[in-house]
Amino acid sequence: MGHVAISLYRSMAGLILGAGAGVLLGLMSGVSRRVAGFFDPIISLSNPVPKVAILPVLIVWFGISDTSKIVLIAITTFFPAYLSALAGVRQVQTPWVWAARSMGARPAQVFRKVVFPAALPQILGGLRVALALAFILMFASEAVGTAHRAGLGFLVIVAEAGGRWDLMLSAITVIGILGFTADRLLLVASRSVLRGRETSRG
Amino acid sequence: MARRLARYHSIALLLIGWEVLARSGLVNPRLFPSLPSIGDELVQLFTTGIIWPHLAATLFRVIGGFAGATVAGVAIGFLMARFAIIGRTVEPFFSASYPVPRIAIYPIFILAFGLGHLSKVALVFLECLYPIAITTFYGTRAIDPVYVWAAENMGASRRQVLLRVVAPALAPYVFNGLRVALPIALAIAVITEMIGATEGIGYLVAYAAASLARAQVFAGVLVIAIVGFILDAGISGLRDRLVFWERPAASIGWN
Repeated sequence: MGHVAISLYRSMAGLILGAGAGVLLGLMSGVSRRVAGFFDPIISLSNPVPKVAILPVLIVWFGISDTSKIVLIAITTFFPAYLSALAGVRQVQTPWVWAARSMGARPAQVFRKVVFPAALPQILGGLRVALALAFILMFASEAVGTAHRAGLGFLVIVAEAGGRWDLMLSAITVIGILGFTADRLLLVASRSVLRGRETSRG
Repeated sequence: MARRLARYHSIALLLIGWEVLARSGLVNPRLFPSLPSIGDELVQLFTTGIIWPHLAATLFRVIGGFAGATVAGVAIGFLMARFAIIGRTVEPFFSASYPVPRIAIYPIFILAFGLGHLSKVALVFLECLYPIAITTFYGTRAIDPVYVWAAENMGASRRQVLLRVVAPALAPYVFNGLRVALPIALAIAVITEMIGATEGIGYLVAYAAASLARAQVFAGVLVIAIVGFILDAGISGLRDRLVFWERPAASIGWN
């Protein structure tokens, strides 16, 4: 049980930090040309690069601690969250914004009542990608090196090295169940948030 | 020109910030090497020839798995959409296994296929299969049957319908899948090499980190970044040449 808890802590902490920052900055880039001008070149240059490549750098900086795993997961999940929030704001129809403005809405109200709700389906789609990523990077970073000898990825690798294939297979199954359940929970949550709207099923 | 350069001011700021921090003495230069020393190490990786076998191994795994997944993914996606019985049989399997972190079965692949190329190629294949099969599936379903009827009415053979109508209609979708899949292929190759391998760039950087060759870690990461960038530019360039009539869709994959 300790392995599950520590793995969930690492992946969820990284996801909340990374995807949270990604959605926030993506929304800001969507409404402000200046912010977009600053982040666009950085994102488009680093997006095709596998973010997991910096794991050894993080290990150099933070050791094989929880920090290096959480930072890696945060960096990786930032990208889909940022890109989907930006795309979500960009596809908001300008007449809706004009309509709200002409009915006397202040910019903050336009954002809260028009832009954000319209971007929400895309943001949730990006979060789904980010969630899947958090589990993949959790396993990868734990398999490469883990302090405190805890975590599901660590368990799989140790069980394999020790010839305990039964233990290895059950740990792999637990990872699969966690990933599957988390995804379904997010889907259910998205559907209830977006209730009554036209949405595409993924 | 000046305006184009000004667009990249944020990257220049980032590099300058790194260099100032590295030289300030506030951080340990071993942990935070200056840009010229990383550059030196990068040049050394190539001039001493250390990098080549690792680069070759990684590219072989990426391209092998990706090419296999392209063939299999397009076939599976097309057949799923074309024949309802196949769609009904395969679809539940795909949607159930889609959110599962498939990387976790890598240790099983090591046991089954060994530490060499095959275990990596197999996992790259498996991960790339999903985006390619899914985009092909939706692409096939989106083909307007009117086009097929029109071609058949004008006496086109099955082969002609497939090559002149179905293939061009499908190509933009397939390329969306390929564009998502290729960076994933590189990411998976690097991850698997870090976890268990005897060669490959992922192995090289993980080994350098473990043996405290810090500048080499940064140089190796830079090589991976450059490879990722070139692969992505390559597939985008190919797409723009082959399906020039469709604007690329925004794709949010992962890697």
